[in-house]
Amino acid sequence: MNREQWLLTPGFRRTVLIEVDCNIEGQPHTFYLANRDYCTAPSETPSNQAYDDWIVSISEFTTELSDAMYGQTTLHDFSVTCRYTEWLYSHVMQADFSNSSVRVFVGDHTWPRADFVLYATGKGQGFSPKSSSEIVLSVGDRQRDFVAPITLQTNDDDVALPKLFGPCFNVSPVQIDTVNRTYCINDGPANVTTVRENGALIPFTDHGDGTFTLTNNAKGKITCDASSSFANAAAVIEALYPNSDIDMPPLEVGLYIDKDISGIDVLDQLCVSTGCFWRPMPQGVFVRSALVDETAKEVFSADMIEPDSLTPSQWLEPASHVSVGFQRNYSPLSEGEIAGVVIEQSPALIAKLTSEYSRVKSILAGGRIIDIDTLLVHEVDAIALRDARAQQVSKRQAIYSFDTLAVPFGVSPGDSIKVESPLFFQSRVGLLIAKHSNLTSDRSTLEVLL
Amino acid sequence: MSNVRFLINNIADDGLVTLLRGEPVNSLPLSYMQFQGKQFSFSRRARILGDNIAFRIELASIAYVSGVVLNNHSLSNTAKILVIRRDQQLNEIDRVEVDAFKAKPLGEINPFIDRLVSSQQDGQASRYSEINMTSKSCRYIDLEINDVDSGNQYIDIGRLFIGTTLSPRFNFNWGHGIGFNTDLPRVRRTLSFTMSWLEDREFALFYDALSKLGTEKDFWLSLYPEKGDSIQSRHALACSFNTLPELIRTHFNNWEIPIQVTEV
Repeated sequence: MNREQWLLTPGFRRTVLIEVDCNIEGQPHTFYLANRDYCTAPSETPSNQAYDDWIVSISEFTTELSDAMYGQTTLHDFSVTCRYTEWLYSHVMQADFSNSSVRVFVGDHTWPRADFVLYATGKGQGFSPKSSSEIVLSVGDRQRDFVAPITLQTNDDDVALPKLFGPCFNVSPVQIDTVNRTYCINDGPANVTTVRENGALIPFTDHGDGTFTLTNNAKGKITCDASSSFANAAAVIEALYPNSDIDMPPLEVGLYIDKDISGIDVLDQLCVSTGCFWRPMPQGVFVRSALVDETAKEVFSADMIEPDSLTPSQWLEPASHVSVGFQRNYSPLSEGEIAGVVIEQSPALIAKLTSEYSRVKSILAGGRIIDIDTLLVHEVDAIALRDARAQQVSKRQAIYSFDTLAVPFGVSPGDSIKVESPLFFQSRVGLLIAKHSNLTSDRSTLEVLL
Repeated sequence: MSNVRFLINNIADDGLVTLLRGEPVNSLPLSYMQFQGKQFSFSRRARILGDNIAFRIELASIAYVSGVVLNNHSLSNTAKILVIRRDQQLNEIDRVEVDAFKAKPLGEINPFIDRLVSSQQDGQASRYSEINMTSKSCRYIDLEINDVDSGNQYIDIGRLFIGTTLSPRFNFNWGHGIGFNTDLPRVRRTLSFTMSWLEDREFALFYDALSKLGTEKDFWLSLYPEKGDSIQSRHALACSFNTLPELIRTHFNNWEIPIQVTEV
């Protein structure tokens, strides 16, 4: 039986191998753990490595999209309960688990190590005692890599310099020199096209290095239009996370960061703007389209579904309208702040500066209201996103959950899957939004939006 | 049929193991076969590269040896084990060569009990080889293992027991039980039985052995030694006592010991 057949066949006892990296007295060390005896051969990598059979149980492993209409994912940590042994205790007491990474593999104890499937990666958070005979390894969601705020550079006066990606409209620059009236819009090269004081155009000199200087003193609120050389969402991700393999659609976006904002928030904003989900996976961070792909990645036939387990857990009513905002990176101004000359000469600009966002709406027949704020620059992209969303939510949907007899290693939340059930419907393609797995058994619970 | 056999006082743990033939593996050293199993990992087995290897155990002092057990090893069904006992000056006292797995002729196989395979231990989670000899004192023991048919190019040994075997003149009572403990990651066998007919001499031997043992240390136990079938292999295990048994004097010249053990 080959690996794929084994993964899809119920009844086999799964072997779970867990590798926990840490430091002991400044030297890299790896704990090799398993839920049964396993040792690699001399020709394998790692070679001659025993995986200690100390794993007693592993908590449920969940991957989930928090909401089918937004880019956010939900943090899910998990834990591994191990036998308390003197050897493990003595090594754990010396270990430093900061920057620890954990790799979880699943397979059969007769397989060579290379055939095991990398099922998950996480951040090791150390061991803690559970009882006189057990200790628990806590593993953090790999998503925590993105919890840290985006780092802003500071100048000699310890002023945090903002970051500008793509074209942004009416953003608030940071004043870095009060005597010379110099403002900063980016910590690198940028092109400043327009500067306003309370909405009225004022003269300035663009230095091209992300700073500009006002010609005259100003008392009102300074905003500007500027752009940097980041062409699209993919380029933004490349700049923020150069070592990641996040593959973002090449839609043009504008992002301005002038305060602490986490990587999670930035990824969420980019994914919402481009109609995607994101989630860290063992092989990297995936970004998937939020829209159902009619070509299902995997088919769950009736004989792969636990009898009577397919149940509709939630109904989603059709939406009444879908509204997509774009060009959101600007500083809204109240009418009282806008200079008289603007009020008199540019009513269209007033409408733009006083409204919360530029929006495109689509009126539907249902009851739900879907409002999406995006970083999109162009109205045409916002319209395309609105229409795609509207098509998705124009009819009633349901979230079904079911237990699958096989182990769905091949699908992840965000994939399209086909569910066949003679009881409810012949077959439907839907979006997989959650997967709850017990690694040591061959049962998983899936939630799918149909 | 031989009676129940114990190898309780394992003198291999205090011996010095040196490799005579084969290549050592740093991550799986020879000393792993001297770690007792209850606190240790079942995955950690001493590994020697090669299919024809030899190693020597220098005992801490001259001692009587009548049993050698290799447990949790990787030997194939056609492997052969040669045991050479040597005196203080490394002179050979005797040598015993055995098959790693006792072969059972086809005509003797009971199809309702035995596994119709080349070895009665095929499919077992842990495979063992038990070598029993006449009791002789020695200082060094050489173990030469030839396993050219395995194709592995390495030999793993999880646990080594050497010592004097205890086998009471009367066997254990009818009514013994074998079960399974599933509390730990690996399913472990449990055995319970009673030996009701120990003589004073045997009482003394068990008393001395048990008083040194405790419940943490492991020992070798075989309920049907030399039977050569699956009954034997299912009732032979490295184990430790759940609680140290009480030795009960039932008559003026008779002792009884109820035994309860769990595989390590």
